Amino acid sequence: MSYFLQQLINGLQLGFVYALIALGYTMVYGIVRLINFAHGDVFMIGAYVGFYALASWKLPWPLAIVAAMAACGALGMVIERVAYRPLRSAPRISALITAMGVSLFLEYFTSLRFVFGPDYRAFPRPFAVTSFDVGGVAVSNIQIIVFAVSTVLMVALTLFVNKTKTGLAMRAVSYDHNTARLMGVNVDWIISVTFGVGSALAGAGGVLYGIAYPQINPFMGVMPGLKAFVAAVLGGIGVIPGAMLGSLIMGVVETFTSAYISSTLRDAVAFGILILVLLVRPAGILGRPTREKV
Amino acid sequence: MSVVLETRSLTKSFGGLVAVHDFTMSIAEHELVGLIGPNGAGKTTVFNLITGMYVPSAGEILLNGRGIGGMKPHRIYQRGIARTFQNIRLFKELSVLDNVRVAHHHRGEAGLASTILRGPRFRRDEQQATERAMELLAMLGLEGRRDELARNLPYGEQRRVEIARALVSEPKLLLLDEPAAGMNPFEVGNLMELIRFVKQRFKLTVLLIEHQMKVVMGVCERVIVMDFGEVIAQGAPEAIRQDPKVIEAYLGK
Amino acid sequence: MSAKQGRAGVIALLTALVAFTAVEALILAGALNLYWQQIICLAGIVTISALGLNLIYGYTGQFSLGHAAFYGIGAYTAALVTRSIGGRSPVGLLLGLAAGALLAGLTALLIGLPILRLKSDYLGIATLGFGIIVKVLLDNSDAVIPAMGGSRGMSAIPKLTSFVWVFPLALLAVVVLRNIVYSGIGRALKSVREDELAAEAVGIDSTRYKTLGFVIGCMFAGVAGGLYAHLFTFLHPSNFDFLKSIDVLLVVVLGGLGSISGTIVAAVAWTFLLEGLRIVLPPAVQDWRWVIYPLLLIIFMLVRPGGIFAGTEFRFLRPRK
Repeated sequence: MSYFLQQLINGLQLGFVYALIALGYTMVYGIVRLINFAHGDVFMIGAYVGFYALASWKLPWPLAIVAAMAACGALGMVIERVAYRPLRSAPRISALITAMGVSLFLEYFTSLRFVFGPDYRAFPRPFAVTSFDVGGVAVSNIQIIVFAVSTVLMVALTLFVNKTKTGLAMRAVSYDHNTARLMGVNVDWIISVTFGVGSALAGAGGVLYGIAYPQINPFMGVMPGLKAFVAAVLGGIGVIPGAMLGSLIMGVVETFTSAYISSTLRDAVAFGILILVLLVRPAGILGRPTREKV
Repeated sequence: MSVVLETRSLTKSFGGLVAVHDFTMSIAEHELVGLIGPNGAGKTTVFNLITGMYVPSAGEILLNGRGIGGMKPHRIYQRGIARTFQNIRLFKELSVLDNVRVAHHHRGEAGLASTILRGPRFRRDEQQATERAMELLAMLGLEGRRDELARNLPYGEQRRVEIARALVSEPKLLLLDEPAAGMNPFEVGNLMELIRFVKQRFKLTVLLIEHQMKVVMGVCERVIVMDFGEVIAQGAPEAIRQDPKVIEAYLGK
Repeated sequence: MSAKQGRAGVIALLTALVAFTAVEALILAGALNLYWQQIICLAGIVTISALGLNLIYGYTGQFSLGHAAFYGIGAYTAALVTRSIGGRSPVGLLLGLAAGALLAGLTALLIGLPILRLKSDYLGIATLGFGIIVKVLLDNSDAVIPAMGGSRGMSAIPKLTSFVWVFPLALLAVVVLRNIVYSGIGRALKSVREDELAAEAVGIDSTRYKTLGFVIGCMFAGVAGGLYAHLFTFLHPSNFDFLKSIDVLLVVVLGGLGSISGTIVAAVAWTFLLEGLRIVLPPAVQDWRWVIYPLLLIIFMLVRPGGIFAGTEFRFLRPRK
């Protein structure tokens, strides 16, 4: 039983990191219907910014997270402006291919020797790891930080989307660009903000990931990116609580598969569940099914 | 005269909303019936039920006495019910000719092998489909447009292509969903003539949804009026026009 | 049919024959080393696989992000068949390719029946998931079939693929696809792409045609995979991962969705571009190859979002009137 709980905690830790990535995916998809494949690489950049902030600039870890969020937020907005905005009226597949191009570019450009370099780097531990015994289950201070930081960010995001004027505009744009524009919303700006906010969350996720799983390299964003996207779909793409729920499920399923079945089959089980959920509920767990108007 | 289409207590609800309730009607062979009612009365839902796009929540739909409720749309088409759409749904990136030929495809006999090898069955199918389609296009004055992409056609011609597509495999029953929508008075006149013409030419039974009273009064032999998903009146166009229940549905109390 | 188009077809066939003879002569004369022979063969293989995806996505409108899985199924199946037959006979390769195509097609049928109900991006995600599942299974395949090697890779596959095989098969793929696309079946597939509901409303069984397009397209991938296995004689699950699915998609989109000519040109250009960059770039900046490539890709998409052959074809590939 305590082994089960221990794995559950580990799964939730992974799930919270996924959630930070998945939120950006789901927000961007909700607003421009684009699977932003470069999002996982923005997460990777966040991890590296955290790396330099901790190792070279010797910043305390909360500031490293802030630095990564700022850098990734700006990066996300630049990517949108340069690569996606010109294609907004083009076929959707063109933007998808471009997103793939941006993803490859970020991976291989940062692999160059004078950028981050291709090798694995050990992520610095900003504090000594201690763990607390909670009813027979070991919870580390890393896990507490991951849970706390993610929760704070998610609550902040929820408040931002639901309580601010910009958040209202985001919801309006995701519903219908043209109507939003007629209501006086600056659609381009709102899309830009969405990319910025989503990317900033991924940046925070990158630093937390580095702290929790201290090995980083330029391709580290590929699989977590894909899985976070899948988590967003699982929960119901475009729906913010859905991305959180889907991510937690994804993290827990993955961890349990590793623990109880086989770690090599972990991805197969996770994606198998995705397909099953899509077949039963094509719009995802919390997604609202749409009916085609005849 | 024999009954072509019959619905018995047809009901469709979406979640809590009942779009069509206890809808019973019958249409005789070679009749031209109008289905009218205020916006949201459930007319298009009735079309979608008859053509299999929605599965009925309750009730029966009979074509020549045989139940078709819950069948897939393509099967219902193959049984002889064709339709057009309120918002015109052509295959935009296909040529006008191909738009019409697709609708004849189910009559073809060529399988995959014959198609790949360009066998005799394939050639016969292709010839028949093309001939039939061209016949229809000529009848509707569209033969000069055969190689245009459907999306490049003006609105009125797109409507006619849709009608040609619906007629190419000689349906028994034709459902027209607001065919005059978006047309100017001149085009409406042509359309009415066209409806009468194809009805005669193909010995069709026609059910049409229309908002323009001129069309309804001009071509329909009988009118069924719906409101809130139910039939509130039916009869000859002249009688319907005087019916207080109909006036109330349209104008409110 | 017009005489002009008939003549274009004859000219195209003659051109193909001349090109084939020329390249084969160069190979026999020893003017093309093994490396270039491999690249040329790879271009043909990519063409076959991409034509398959164009049928699925370009013509039938079904978004697949898992094409490499069927490529992989074809590759491993064909390799198992030729290895178990033993020897280096062309009959073995033919059997292998047929088995690879069949198993790829069968898998496509089994997976397609449930998931082709999904629309656009959701279908893409489900096929992506399927692709990852196949890759994981290949990684663990040695637990069931030791010969497949699991994550160590499968080796000792006889080298049977050569230009003499690849070119005619690629040509066959072009002709088969062309004949499907310009036919009643092809119109049915395209009508499903354009508007599934309207297609149903004119008697097209959309499920049937979506499945048909998907299965045939995946069989193309299966044949391509079989050729690939016997070209490089070594298979590894990472040859069939998600990125490989993206590669094929890229070729199809770059060429132009729903254009056979575009797929051919893009497949060849793409294969040679990747290798060309390797040769053009001085050794010191080889690392830049994968930086330049995505940049070219992004610029191309920004300049020509519809692909090289947006909606057009070489004359000999156009339908007859």
